[in-house]
Amino acid sequence: MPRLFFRLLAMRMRWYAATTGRVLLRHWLWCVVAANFLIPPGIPLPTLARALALPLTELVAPGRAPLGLLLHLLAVHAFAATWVAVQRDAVSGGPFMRYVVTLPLSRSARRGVDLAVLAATDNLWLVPFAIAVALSAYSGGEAAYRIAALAATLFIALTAQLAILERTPTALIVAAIADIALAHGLGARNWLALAVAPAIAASAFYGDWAIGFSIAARHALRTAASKRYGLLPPPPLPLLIQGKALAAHSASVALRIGAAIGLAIGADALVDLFSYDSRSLPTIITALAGIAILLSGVYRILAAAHRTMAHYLRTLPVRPAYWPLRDMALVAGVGALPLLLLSIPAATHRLAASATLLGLAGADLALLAAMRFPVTHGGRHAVLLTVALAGLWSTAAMAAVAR
Amino acid sequence: MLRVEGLSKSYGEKRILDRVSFALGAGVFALQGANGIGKSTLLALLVGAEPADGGDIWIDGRNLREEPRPARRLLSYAPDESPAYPFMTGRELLDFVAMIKKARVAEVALGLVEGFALGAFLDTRFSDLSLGSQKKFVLCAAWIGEARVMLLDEPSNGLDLAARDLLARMFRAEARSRTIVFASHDAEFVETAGAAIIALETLLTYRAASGVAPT
Repeated sequence: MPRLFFRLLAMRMRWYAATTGRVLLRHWLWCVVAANFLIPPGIPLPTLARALALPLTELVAPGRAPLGLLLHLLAVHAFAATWVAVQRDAVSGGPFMRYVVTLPLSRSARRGVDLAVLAATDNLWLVPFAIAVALSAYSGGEAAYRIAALAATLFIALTAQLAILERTPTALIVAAIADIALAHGLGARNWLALAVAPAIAASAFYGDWAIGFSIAARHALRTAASKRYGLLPPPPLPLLIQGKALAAHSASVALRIGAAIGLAIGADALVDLFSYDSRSLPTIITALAGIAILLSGVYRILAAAHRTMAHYLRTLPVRPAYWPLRDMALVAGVGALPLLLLSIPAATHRLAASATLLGLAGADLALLAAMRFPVTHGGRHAVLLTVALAGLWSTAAMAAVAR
Repeated sequence: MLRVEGLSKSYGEKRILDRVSFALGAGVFALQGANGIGKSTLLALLVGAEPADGGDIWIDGRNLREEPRPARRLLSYAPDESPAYPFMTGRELLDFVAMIKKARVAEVALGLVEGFALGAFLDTRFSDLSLGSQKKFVLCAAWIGEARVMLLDEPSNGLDLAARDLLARMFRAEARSRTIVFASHDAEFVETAGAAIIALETLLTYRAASGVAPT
């Protein structure tokens, strides 16, 4: 059995390396930007280590209210789950694993491999955990408690990730319940709660009851949704197809839209901090360009979905621009929400004349539509071209607004 | 109904079709030939799914290159493999094709859905359908609209016996009003459909001529 475990693990890791390698190759520029953002040049290593581990050292620090602790734990575990959700195909082993489940291999053996792959997948954010453990070791009499609390947090994070991997929402809910116990334990410095919380999280995978419950719940939800769907007028078919194409990559799409909205809210906060002075409009324009870059990835998902049907579509009496136009309209529509979030403070605080703001909004929608071209025709340089286009746009917009 | 003049196609150094010309009237025609000779390529070229290197195709008098949309309205195509999105349901495929062709999911297509016993699978995603059921939906979609020329790639592949018989009967029934060309190695199906055989090898050597006389 160990031989089988290591062979399967080797295959899974090879698949993970190949798929992740492809993604990194495509998004290397993003990685450089993110690394520069997270690790500013010149920062001393000990300061950086402390900063990376801060969300975890704060979590196990004494004197915090249970509600704050619970929200903190949920945020850490939501991050852990999202980390796996966005790369689920790579972590889960791809189509080959659908074949492997037909082989006489126990679920626990597969889970063992899953957990080993997850540990490797988590290498980036296991570093802050290791630093937090090292820092906790010097916290005097509380050291053992803090390290145990970090271990419990990590264990629940792994169960949340396993729940994502096995598509078991029930196990995610159980992990959230475990967080309640852990938050109570951390608040009251209770050792028993530290032991009980991971046990609660693990119970979701005992006897596979959570999987059965998730399937039943999903079925019930689908039945309820189909009944509700019957009452509502159906959406236009092209929109339904686009929606389903995006739903197939729900984690990535939700992350992009969430980040776009987050960026808009962040820019609004910054503009408020600037007291709506002359820095405000450039901030809004930069945020709009950033949002356009974030949402441009939606084009890649849609284009990849349309490729399946492209051959057949060419045989139908349809214009070649059928999907491109609809995709541009959809992305512009999605981008309208963060645009609205940024436009409201700009309009209420009269950062520019109404005509200028309307022109800026129109130019932003045009940018969102234009982003399709570098994404679908830019090949390996797509990211570079989208950044260049957004950069050019923001420069031109700032110049136009300044006139 | 279907006229081809000087059709050529190469993949790199490999010449698949070299100035092929022929014309077909109403009837059922089975395109036959060895594996890899270019049957699927020819069908994909005839429907405009693949761009030709040269030559022209007329669908009921409409030039596919010059008037692609009117020509495609008179054309139906069923590829060998499912062209649908994996998340799409059978009903959505039929509705989508009907919407694009500005047609209704015709009675004959609905009859085919019933005949193929697809009613229970109308709301099943393509990724969850068997290959045979996927094929059946694609065949049903070919019956949407007012196609004068139907081009089908291996239509009997993966179908159960009842579905094959039904499809063959449909072909026979439409023989007088449409040009139905399908690629197939299935001799029994070809015979049941009453199809005239076109040997692709003969077609490839019959350049510059305008009129293949089906055997």
